[in-house]
Amino acid sequence: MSPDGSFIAVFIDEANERLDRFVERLLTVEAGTASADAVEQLLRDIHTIKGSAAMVGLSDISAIAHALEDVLMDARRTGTVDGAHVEPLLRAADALRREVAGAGSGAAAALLQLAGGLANAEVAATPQPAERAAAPSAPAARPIRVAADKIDALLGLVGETVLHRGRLEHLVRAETGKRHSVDDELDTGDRLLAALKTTATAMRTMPLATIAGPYARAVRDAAASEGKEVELVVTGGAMELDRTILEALAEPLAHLLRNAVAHGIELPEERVARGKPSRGRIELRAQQRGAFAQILVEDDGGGVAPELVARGEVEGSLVDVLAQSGLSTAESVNQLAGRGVGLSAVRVAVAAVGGTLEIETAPGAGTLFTLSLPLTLALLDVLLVERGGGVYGIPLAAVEEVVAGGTPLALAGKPQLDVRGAPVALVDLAALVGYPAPPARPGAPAVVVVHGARRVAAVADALLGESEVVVKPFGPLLGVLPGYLGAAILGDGRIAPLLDPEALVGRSGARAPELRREPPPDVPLTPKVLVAEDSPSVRELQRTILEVAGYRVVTAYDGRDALEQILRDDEIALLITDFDMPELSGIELTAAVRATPGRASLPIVIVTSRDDDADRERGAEAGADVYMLKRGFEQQKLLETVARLVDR
Amino acid sequence: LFVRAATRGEQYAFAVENIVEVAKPGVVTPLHDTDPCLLGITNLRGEILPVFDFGAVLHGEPLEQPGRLLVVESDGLRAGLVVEDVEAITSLGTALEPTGSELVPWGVLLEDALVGVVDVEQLCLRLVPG
Repeated sequence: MSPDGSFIAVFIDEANERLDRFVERLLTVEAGTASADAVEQLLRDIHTIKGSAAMVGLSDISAIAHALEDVLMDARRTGTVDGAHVEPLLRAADALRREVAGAGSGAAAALLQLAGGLANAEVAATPQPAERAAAPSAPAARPIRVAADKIDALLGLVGETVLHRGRLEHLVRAETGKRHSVDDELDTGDRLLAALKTTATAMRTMPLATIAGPYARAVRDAAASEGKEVELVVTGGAMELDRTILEALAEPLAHLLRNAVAHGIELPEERVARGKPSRGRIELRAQQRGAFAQILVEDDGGGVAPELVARGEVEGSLVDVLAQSGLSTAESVNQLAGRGVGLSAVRVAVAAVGGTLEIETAPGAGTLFTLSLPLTLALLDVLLVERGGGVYGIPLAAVEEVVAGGTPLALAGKPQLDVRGAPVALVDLAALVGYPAPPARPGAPAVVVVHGARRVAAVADALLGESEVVVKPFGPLLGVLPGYLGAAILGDGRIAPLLDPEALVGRSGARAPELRREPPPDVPLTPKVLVAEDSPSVRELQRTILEVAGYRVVTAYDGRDALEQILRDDEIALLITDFDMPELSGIELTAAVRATPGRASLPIVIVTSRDDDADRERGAEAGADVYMLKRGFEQQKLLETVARLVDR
Repeated sequence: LFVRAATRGEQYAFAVENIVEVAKPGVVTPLHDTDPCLLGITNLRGEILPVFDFGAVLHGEPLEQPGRLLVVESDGLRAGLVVEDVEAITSLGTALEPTGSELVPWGVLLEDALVGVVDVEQLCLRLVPG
């Protein structure tokens, strides 16, 4: 068959993601920190790329992956990847990535590169960073197949629907009181809305980890060329951010990381002389701050020179000073970074997506770059509380617990609350937000807000309950107000300012909850087919083929997931499974189904790139009804097979 | 064309192109530790609108009787101004006299009343915190 562009696009996304993971894992092999199953994981990623490429008709890519697989099969026999083979494997991964991007020099050249690299590995066993460090690769841009403005319109509707739902709930409860039928309908609305939100948001966003994969390699190469030891730590990688923003920031973030290596982290001997570990640390992390997402790049290096900091105070900001063309924080400008024009470009890129760039630095201790970016759809789970007639929202992620009727204690003349045996400062919420209100009644509830290592018990008049709210910014005129994350419009039209836990407890670094994802509800239709496949592109291809033919389709990303679905969903009438999958292989899955009373007769089709008789026999012994090959895959043949098996 | 508004017995004119709408002041939620001229924020059809006491912006004293909410906008900066009353849309003619004030740079005599012409762009910029 001839797959259309959308499957190719899904394949490209998947292959890049797997290559990112492949490279990350190879780097752990090189660093001696690889897990025991590293070789198996490497093999699985390459094997899946090979199979997926074959299935969507990209034979050149499949051939390169096959060659890589051969190398890794040797490693499997010895139980480990030879350290000298890491470099040529990395280069082969680069070649494969170029081929995936459609800009490669052809499969033959890539294969020659791999073969040559392995042959030379014995005499050139040390990393060769300089060549790559000249242009560490930024992640390739990933296409959006739906016009962004259409998705934005959908997201806008989601936000409005959340507000509408809140108003409706308020009205219904006011009119009818708590009736079970009303509650049931509201619950149904909640479920539908959650599914709508998840679907709409997923179309427009992707996790930070999607672009962060290649950064470990970029940092490793940059550090090698500088003679430095650097560890990159990514936290909050699962946080969903706007796709277009992330794509626009991929290269600027790479620049900040290279900058941190070149100018932030000191040479090992300098670090040791300063009492630091010889290995420097750079952290890339994402967090939500109300209506904004923040991406932070923090290093534990030497910090910005004090004279530049002083200039920043005079001229407006440190960003202004460092972004001046030609100005470098390093003693010498090198090829990695250091040109002020680089930071200027970062600032321009951040501003172009509606964000801001800030720098904090401490001489000798490190530098923190903070990119504040608008969120596509800012939803926040909050605890709504009332104090002095006003309603406030406190992010649930920062609420440790609520203590009702606690007896205040005194410590050094300041009221404290006994919270599970530990004293916590007891403060009137009105005082925390600077609002003059009459004293709270004795025994009023106290909300324990935590931020970092500090906690505060904030006294409120009443707790109004938990709620998921749309975070509304204060608008262009007010911008960001210290102490507030934004505001929420409640069902009754009132506004609840959303309080910043950092301001409440006086410290930075609070984490807001990430978007909750729930599966969309199933709609009963025709026979249901389960597709178990760890490759998204193959999974998507099979799902689409079956859905177009009128089947209901559910999918599983590994064998264990598939088995759990089969055990809990009696409607599944047929299983299509890959051979090689994480957690539970297709063979193990098939055997498990056959051994399950009540499900033992479920029709099972194995679709795999394994084309040898021994594997076919394993499939048959496990109990598969049909064994099909991904290579030369035919849509009609699959549909005929499925129809035959579900109708029998 | 200009919209005439009154506050503390004084009259001011705002160019109609800067007027988004005139509304009744709804519930205003105060934001603490902010500029005293900022009364708070209100819900204007699902959007958050900052609400300022126009009299306090000009004179530094709070308004005694808020009557109407004048929503103005310039260069994407939108603000609600609480005034005592909003009167007719009118043409000011050409007899404008400079006043030397940054926010009210022109004055004109209209029906025996002195009307100050507000520079909404400068006003909005002045209202930006910091």
